[in-house]
Amino acid sequence: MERKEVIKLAGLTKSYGGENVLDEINLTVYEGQIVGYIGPNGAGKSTTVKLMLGLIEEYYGEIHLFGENLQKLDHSYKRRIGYVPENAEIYDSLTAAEYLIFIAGLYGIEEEEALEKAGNLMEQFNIEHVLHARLSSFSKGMKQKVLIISSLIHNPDVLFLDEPLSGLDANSMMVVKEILALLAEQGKTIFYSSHIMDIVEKISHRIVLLSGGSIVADGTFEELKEKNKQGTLEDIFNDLTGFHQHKDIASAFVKIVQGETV
Amino acid sequence: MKDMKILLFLDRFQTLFQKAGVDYAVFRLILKMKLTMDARRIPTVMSNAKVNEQKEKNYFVRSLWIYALYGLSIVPVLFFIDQYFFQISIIFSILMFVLMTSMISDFSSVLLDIRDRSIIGPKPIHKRTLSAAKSFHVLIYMFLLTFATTTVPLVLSLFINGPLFSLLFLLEIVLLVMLILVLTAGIYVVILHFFDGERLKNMINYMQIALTIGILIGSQVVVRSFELVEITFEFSPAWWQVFVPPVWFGALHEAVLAGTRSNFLLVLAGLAIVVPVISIVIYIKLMPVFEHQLRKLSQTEGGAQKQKAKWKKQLARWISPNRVERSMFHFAGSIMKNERDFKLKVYPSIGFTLVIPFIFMFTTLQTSSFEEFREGSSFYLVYFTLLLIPNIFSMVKYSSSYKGSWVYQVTPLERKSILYSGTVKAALVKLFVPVYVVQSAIFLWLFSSSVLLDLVICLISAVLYSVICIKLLSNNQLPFTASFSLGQHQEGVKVFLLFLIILPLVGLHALSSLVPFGTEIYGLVMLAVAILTWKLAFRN
Repeated sequence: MERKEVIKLAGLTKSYGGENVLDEINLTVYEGQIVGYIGPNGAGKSTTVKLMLGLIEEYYGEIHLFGENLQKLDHSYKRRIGYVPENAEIYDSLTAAEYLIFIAGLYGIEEEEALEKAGNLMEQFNIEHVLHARLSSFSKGMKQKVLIISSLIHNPDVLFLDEPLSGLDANSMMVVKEILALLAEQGKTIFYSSHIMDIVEKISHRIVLLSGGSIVADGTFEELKEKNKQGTLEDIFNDLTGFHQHKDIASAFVKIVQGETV
Repeated sequence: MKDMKILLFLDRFQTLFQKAGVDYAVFRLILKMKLTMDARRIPTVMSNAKVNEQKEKNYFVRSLWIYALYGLSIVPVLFFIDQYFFQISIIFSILMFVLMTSMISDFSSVLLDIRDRSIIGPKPIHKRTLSAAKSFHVLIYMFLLTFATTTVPLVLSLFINGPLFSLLFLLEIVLLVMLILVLTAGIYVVILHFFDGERLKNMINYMQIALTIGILIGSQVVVRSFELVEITFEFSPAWWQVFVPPVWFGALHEAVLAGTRSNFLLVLAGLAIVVPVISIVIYIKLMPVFEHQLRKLSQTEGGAQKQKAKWKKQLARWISPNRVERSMFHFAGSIMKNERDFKLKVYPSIGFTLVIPFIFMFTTLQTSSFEEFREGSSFYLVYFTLLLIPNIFSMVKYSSSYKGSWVYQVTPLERKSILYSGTVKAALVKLFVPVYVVQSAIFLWLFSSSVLLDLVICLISAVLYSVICIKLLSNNQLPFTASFSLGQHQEGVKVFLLFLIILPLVGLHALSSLVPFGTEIYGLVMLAVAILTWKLAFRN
């Protein structure tokens, strides 16, 4: 069976002030895949996502979404994308219902339909009682649930998730992980960025490790384990990003806290 | 979210928007959301307020009546000058000043909002639609504000000057609002084009000061376009009038109603119509460029760590011996220096206070010689600098990162008053004193060193005045703990009343100078009062 290419990055390069944040990225993602997109802070993960969403412009190389060159697409391609950014901004003087109706409206969904869907989805997350309360009074986990709902309310084909489980309790995490697996089964593509390695290890069909603007590893968890002869994704991550001094740093840190000199 | 009347009104022009390439449904949605948010003040930290639909009123709309007061200042011009050209030029100078300054201080935060980028940016929306929604959001408030300012003069003009006059007046007001919106955005585009990151943010603040000064001096220029010949004002044409918008509107009125049609006058009148219309068209075309450049606002280069100068550290130690207060002093100082929203609101008044005394002097100088002027009591004009103080203290309770204020709760603070006293000291040292020193230097040069004592007394009064202001304006809200919103206008009244306190300060000072050694004694008394008030106010 021919798998459909959903995202294709070819020689994607982005530089800020002469420094390459992304350096010749080549990546093809297929329908129904959950891609764990990982890397140290500042490796260029969110830059990649922002480029695909048109939030950042001017780059070298090519971005193809749904088989079309991004340069030739007008804004309507975003209708097929859902996005949960890290440290998401939110209009928190609105109520959850108002916010979700607003976001759904931006995707062209009618108010009544949006409200019904938002209410039902919130019920599944057990937060239907705060549907008409202001977001500013929400806890981090509740806000995160609203953000997840807002990224899915228009039933997108591609999901870009950046640390989507942050602030969620263990039970809700299980629910979201299951949702992602089901969505992938339906043929949705999920681009998942996170720093929590055991979750990435468990849910991803494929792991892409970015370091210093380049892809340093790409494959299933089993393939990576084979290649790097390491037990967990965390070990592989440390190994590939060349980080081994965690014990030294930790002991120096504690010494400084206690007022000793290092 | 209820449908606002204004949206129902805009609905009638749906097709017009569609034709301009704006997705009306989305446009309406964004606008409605923005208006709803304005009607709510974001609850302060730690309060879990649920929505109370009944209490929801737009704070901005509620505070509009202060603008009606500004509008009243136009009324005498309508009554006592019956020469269209001069009359309208003066009226539009006042209007332009009021509208432009509020545009810059209140709506810059709307125009420069970068939150929209990250929330609305990833959605399938054409840039033009977002731009249109943002522009209309500002325009609605501009019109409300203009409406509040001009209704009384407009209605009165109907009776005094007749319907044709009022109709033309109305048209000119619309043109002026367009011009001001475009002018403000235009200035930002130019700055954004040449600068980026932190530097740009500072640039915007300096532009605000420059603009406030510019408009103030500009209105003087307008007055000087006319010469008092016998009892009527004669217009004296000059090439530079082409660059003074209020004169255009005056010319338009003159040309239409009085039938004066010299070539130069017609050119000026033509500018009044052509420039706003052309600029709004260019503005609509260029709005996406503007949005694009706004991105730079969120980009910050990693700043180099700056070592605090030794003398500054020493000074801080001397000003705030208490360690906790000193820490607040430094913190408040850096917020006032770095926070864009704070600067947007406060810095324009710096320009205002710098210029105002000299405009008054200029008027005095026209009727008396320089010698007489030096000997006179014009140096009391330095008290105008005090106008800055209530402006600062009405803003210190706000911060755009007000949520960070949980640190006040979790740190072991002995007494909260220390947060206020640190803030007052920071505001005085970092904002007021620099302005005052510049002002004093000019005053010493103008009036010789004999006014030195008076300048010192004014500074002492400033300290006393600051304590009064922070006490009356803070409402028990700790510094930097509330969110900025359009609602701050309700403080406008309080600030206005606080302005009045300056009058007895000047009065007592002037009275004391009538007695021998009166000024010296008054100075000592003021010093004692200031110290005592400070101690009492920041006790516990």
